[in-house]
Amino acid sequence: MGSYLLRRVLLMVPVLLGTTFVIYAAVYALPGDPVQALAGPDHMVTPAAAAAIKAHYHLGDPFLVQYWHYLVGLLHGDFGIDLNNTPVSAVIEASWPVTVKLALMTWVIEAVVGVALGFLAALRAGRATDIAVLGGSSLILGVPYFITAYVAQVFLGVKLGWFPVSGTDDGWPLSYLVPALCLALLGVPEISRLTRASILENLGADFVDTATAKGLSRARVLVRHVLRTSLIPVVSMLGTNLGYLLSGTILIEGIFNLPGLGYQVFQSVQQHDGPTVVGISTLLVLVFLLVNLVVDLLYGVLDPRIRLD
Amino acid sequence: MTATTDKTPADAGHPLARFPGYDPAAPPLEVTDLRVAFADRPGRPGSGSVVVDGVSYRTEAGRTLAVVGESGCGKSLTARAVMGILPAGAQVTGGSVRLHGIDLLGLDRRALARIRGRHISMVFQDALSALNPVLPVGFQIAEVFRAHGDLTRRQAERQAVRMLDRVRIPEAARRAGHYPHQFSGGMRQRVMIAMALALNPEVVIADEPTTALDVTVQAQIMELLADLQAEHSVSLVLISHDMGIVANAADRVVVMYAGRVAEQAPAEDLYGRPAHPYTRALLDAIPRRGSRGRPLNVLQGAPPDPADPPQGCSFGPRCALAGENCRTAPPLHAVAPHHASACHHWKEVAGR
Amino acid sequence: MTSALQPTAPAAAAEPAAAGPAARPGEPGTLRRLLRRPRFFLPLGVVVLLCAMAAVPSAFAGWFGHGDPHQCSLEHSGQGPAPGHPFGFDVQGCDLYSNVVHGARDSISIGLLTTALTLVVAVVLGSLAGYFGGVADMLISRLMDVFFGFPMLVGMIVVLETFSVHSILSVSLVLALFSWPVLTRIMRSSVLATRGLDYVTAARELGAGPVRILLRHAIPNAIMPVAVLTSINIGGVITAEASLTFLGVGLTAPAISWGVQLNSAQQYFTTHPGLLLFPALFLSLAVLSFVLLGDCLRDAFDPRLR
Repeated sequence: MGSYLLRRVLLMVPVLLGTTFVIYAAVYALPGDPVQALAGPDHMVTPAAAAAIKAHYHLGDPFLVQYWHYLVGLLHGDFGIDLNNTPVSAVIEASWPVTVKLALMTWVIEAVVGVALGFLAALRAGRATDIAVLGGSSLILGVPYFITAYVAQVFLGVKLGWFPVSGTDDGWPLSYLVPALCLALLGVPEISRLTRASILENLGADFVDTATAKGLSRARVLVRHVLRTSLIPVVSMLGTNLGYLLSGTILIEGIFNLPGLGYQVFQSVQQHDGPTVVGISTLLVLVFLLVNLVVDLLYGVLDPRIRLD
Repeated sequence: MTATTDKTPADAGHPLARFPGYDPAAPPLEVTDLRVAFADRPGRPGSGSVVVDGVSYRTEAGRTLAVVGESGCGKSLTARAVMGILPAGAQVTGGSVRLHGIDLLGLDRRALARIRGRHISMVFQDALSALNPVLPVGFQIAEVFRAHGDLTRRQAERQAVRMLDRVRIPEAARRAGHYPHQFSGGMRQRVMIAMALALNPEVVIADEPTTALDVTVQAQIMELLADLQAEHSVSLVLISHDMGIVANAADRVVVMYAGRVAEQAPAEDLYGRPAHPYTRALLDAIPRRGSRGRPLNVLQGAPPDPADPPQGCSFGPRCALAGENCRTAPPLHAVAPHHASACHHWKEVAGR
Repeated sequence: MTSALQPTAPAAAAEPAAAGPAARPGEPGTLRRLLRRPRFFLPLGVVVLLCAMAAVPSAFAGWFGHGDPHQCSLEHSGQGPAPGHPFGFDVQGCDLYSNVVHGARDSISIGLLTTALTLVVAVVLGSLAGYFGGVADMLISRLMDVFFGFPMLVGMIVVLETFSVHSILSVSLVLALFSWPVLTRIMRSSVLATRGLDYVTAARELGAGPVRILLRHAIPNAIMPVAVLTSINIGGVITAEASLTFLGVGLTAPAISWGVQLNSAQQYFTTHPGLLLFPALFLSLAVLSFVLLGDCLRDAFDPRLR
């Protein structure tokens, strides 16, 4: 267990290096005056900020040396400074709560609705409820969620006025409800299909007959034996989804004007604010890897047949 | 409603007394004219081929009844119908199953749950798939105690350890926390037995309990079953395709072929004077001392397809004695006291 | 074991007819059986229709009117359906129907091109990693991890921003750059499974070289799980392209993909909902068909994959 953890953490190092390198290269490996290239043609950078950036990022040095300095800074928790000479960590600090709130809310909706629908569909396999769930999830998968989000914003927000149109002025949960629901549309079909398939597989398993033959009530057989065993792969998928959610909220944050990490990174790309892009991307990769590590550890706890070593 | 009227002061104390029809004098398990059919298409259970066709048998307390036959002959499905755990699509289409007089097929799901595990239980063939892979075995045994009694979790787990000890699993207290995959095949089957015998049920059905095991382990498991059966005078239904194992364990034998009872008799009678050509063939196929080097008399051909059963006697196509009268299905003839054979030519078989 | 009966035991132990029979690859008639299922032939029909639309849009665009997406007059700007113009006009006064029909070309081209690129990369890298293992496997697997861990959309936006041209080719390249690991990972494990099979070992013992074994034995037998996923992949790529373009970093104005139409429809949605509705409808229909077709193929040819 300890050695497994160590090995997993060590394996994260090359991945983290690789991702930061790709992003760093894409952002900085541009010809011309580095600061102006970073800033883009329309962006006015104050001479003071330009000097600070040049010094901070060692822009006079070759690319690999710059990257090295950036990595060393990262190790000390230094995400660099942005084009306005404010620390990137301050930008992150301001925007991460928004993304975390949105992602967690979405995740809970996905988990509850997805598992409930999958469970229901499996128990009614082949009947109307099942066909409705399967058909509905196919339909949802077909319509790209940003279209749904956009239409929901216009109808629920602008036309009906039931929910805030955009921004976070109404706070949690009101401002996050519609965005989270739209984002959850991406995960619910997946989760419910996996839950359904997994439950159907286990419903026919011998140990379910054993549990019934022991005289357990139907509810207890379903919850303790069928659901407990069926949820193992679902939990794994939910974990991976949380990783994707925390790093994949750009579109929704953009449409609903939620100033989270995704929104921030998109703004920064458009303003050619390289340091912020690299900083936030690195953070997102790190979070994704950590979430996946936790999921794998959890898998070992949930399924005793899996041995982590 | 009838439960209250049927209750007599004498047996009111017995836990089965609250179910309608309870009769302490009735056989522990009595199956009468049981029929099971599969669905011919999804969603319409019981509409298709008949796989158990009018099976009847009864058990006695403290005795072992063996049900033998090839795989697919309906012996396991009969047992599953008794337990109420038929696979999807299969359905009981006729007959009755009575436990001390209580009609199990007529009980609702909740009443049945109170009887299963407490008064009748089952040991499955493949313990690895019959045990839940993600729950500790101690927990799975404790569930039986908790489902049928007011025990706390702690008490139930202590009882589970006691049961593991009774089925002779070493270091029971430690092993209770282990998962099924951490046990050997024989040990897993002991866990299954512990689970089935936890509450000293009146009837235990053991469905091929030793098929998946080594020969030496087979003997140990059969011995364990016999010991536990003797301790509590359990009525055991042993389902097997192995005439050798049955010979050592059974008091009475039911031979099944193609969903029907071919012959049933006390064990010595059946082994000594079989009265059905199929039973004969089964006995001839047992390797014996002295048969080494000579080919075994193996029955040729395959059992009929339940979806397309032959006219008349279902064994006819494989039978050397088959004649004109085998175009009609033979009824059970009384061969001797407690000995019946479903063969028109039983006299020829028995007299050979 | 005294069971002399086992050899004669019937396989037909009356299996319940609960699960429908899964078609097996290579079994004759599998395709014909599939073609009889509405679940298969309906999406297939739509996919074929859309591909035809992408190949020769002019054949479809002219059904109702002039069919030229670039023949516009501002006097019709934003008008609703009119004779010859069943979907109405966009803000530039162009016929919306012919625009939507022509939009199929860019969206579907990107879907096909990206998936083809991904497939090539997946087969090459997946086979190398799966067959040779060792250092090749380690390098390729770590590279996959890098791209898996990447916030995909962020990565694509950043890389697209550094490109000056946003053509079908460049957008496809970027999409492929970030989506190759999914199929590669499946190809890798598939080849890994084939490598241990007896006939591959036999071929090796007989002195066949690794290239010959890979091309002759391993890849043809390992490619099925990857091949059945391509249709689903096309659906995903079309969505991704539309998302990027919707954000304004994918294809841009002179191009007429569905994403471009959605992007420009955003600001007029409240007044002219049709501008968003019709491209969205076609986009959804395309994605849905590819995904459903892929689902069906996957169920038919690889029941082990969920």
